[in-house]
Amino acid sequence: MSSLRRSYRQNLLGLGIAALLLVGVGLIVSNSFYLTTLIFALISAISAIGLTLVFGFAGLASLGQAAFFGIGAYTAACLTEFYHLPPLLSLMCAVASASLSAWAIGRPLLRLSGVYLTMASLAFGLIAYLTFSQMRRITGGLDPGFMLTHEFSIGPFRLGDTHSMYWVCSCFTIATLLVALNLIHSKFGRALRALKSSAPASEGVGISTASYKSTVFAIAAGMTGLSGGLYAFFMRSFNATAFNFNLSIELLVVVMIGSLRSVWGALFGAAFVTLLPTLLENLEDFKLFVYGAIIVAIMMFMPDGLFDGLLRLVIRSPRKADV
Amino acid sequence: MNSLSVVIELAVSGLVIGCVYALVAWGFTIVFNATGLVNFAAGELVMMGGVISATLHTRFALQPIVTVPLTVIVVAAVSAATDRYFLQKARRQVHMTLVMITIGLAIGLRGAMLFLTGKDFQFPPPFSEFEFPPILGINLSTQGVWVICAVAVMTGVLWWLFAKTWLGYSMRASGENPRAAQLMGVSPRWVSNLSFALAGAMGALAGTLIAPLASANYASGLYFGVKGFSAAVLGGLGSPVGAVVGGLLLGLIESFAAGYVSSGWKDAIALGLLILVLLLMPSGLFGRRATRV
Repeated sequence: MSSLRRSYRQNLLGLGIAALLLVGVGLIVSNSFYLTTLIFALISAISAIGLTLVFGFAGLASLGQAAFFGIGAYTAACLTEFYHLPPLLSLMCAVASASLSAWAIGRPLLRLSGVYLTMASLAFGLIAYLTFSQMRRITGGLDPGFMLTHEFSIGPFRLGDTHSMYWVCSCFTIATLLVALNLIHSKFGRALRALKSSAPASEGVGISTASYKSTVFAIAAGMTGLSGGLYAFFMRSFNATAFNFNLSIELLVVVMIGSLRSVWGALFGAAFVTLLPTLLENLEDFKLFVYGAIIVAIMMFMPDGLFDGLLRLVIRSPRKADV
Repeated sequence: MNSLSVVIELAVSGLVIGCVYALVAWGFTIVFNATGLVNFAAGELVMMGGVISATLHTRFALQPIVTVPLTVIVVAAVSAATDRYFLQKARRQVHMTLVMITIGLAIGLRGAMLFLTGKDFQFPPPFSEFEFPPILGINLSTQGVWVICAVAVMTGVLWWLFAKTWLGYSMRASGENPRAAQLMGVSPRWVSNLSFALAGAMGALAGTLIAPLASANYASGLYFGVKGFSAAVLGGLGSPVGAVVGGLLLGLIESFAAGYVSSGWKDAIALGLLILVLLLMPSGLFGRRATRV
């Protein structure tokens, strides 16, 4: 069996273990505070899996993921609140709207190279935040924000309470992981790795880099939109401040603490970043500085991500070239 | 107030903020020309200029004549240090990693200013208390005149530096062909340090100039950075003339957008301009380098 085939089986096994772990935790933990923390970690992880695909596998540094998070959140919230769509349908629409906007903005932008793309994504993220803040009639802006009176429900089952939302988020996390793993272990995933390694060479073997880049960008945006929708249903009340540049940075830090080579790192990174405030008192004042220091340190010493670097130290394998 | 004086007032305030963007854009251009890097921390340097000079005034009751040079020197040193101790050490990494490092540095500097100086919006005093009488029915802000004059002087000085001095030649040579420059006795590492220091000084100067008008706050660097980059791209990344023209143009566009559309949307319009330029005219007005993959 080839090593690629074997590692797909390993990844599926890992997925099964992760699912069991989530189920176990859900059955054992009943403290609402811990569950809330876990829910935030899972929401963060879903976005981070998407960003790992875009940044780690395709090599596109997107500083504007908060835009798609917000688009997902407001789409889900508005459809449920104003048009009384069933919450699950609104959530799916949130994914669709985030993906479509990413496709629309990505197709032209992704022809740009490296830094220009990063700047453009930063600008897009800021524009989205400014739009959310300014369109107060729809979004509630910064103050008073959006108030979602309906809770999340699937059919007759009302799932608005913390414990139920934990199950919902866990299911979506597993589903997202499955999608990501299947993407990676496919022609699509191999094309992504090729184009990160060398775009001209990939074009030379017939890989249309622009279309692969926009597709992965749209998929990642859809995942981010999903987590945005889940955030909206969990928080019920939120304002535009949640979708500013700090969120984009936080997602990037999650991926960097995780791994640029494996989506499992996203789970580790999400857990780490969500738990960070509980480790450091008065974190709010220092959080920004700590994030900056983390980004600089990881990029200088472990450019494939902290989780990846630590794993490599433990199993003592050398860092592969960008393949 | 008739519409002509409205137009002139908007134009003047647009030029004032445009001068600030021009300095930031020029800083981007200098670093880009010398090292090929886009320094994401450029906006934070402007922010630090404003915040440090404001804090020096508040804590130590120093006057602008002292705080401005002091701030410029400090920020220039910080900028050079980011190059020497972080970017140079990581020179062997791929380009995207270096860009990520500058992003991390930008966030780190912002965070450092947050816990060093707090979240308040500070207004340092203007450089002079002299009030201009209204000319043609328009009120000129004194600080605005300071901004325009300072930037005009800076432009002259930098033009002289790059066009007529050995130092300027070395920097240009190193940007065009580091190996050849090395063979001629110019150290690319030194030029890199110097470019970062110069960009830091220019950004800090811009920050100290605009802070009395627009306030100084730890979070303002983000917008200065992106807009400075917009200006640089609009003018053509790599062209100093383009940086200045792009900066002034962006300032004017933003000012008129604030006046005629809505002041809430002006930032979104300025940023939208960046995306538009990148899509339609990526080499800008005066640029030479291609930006496509």
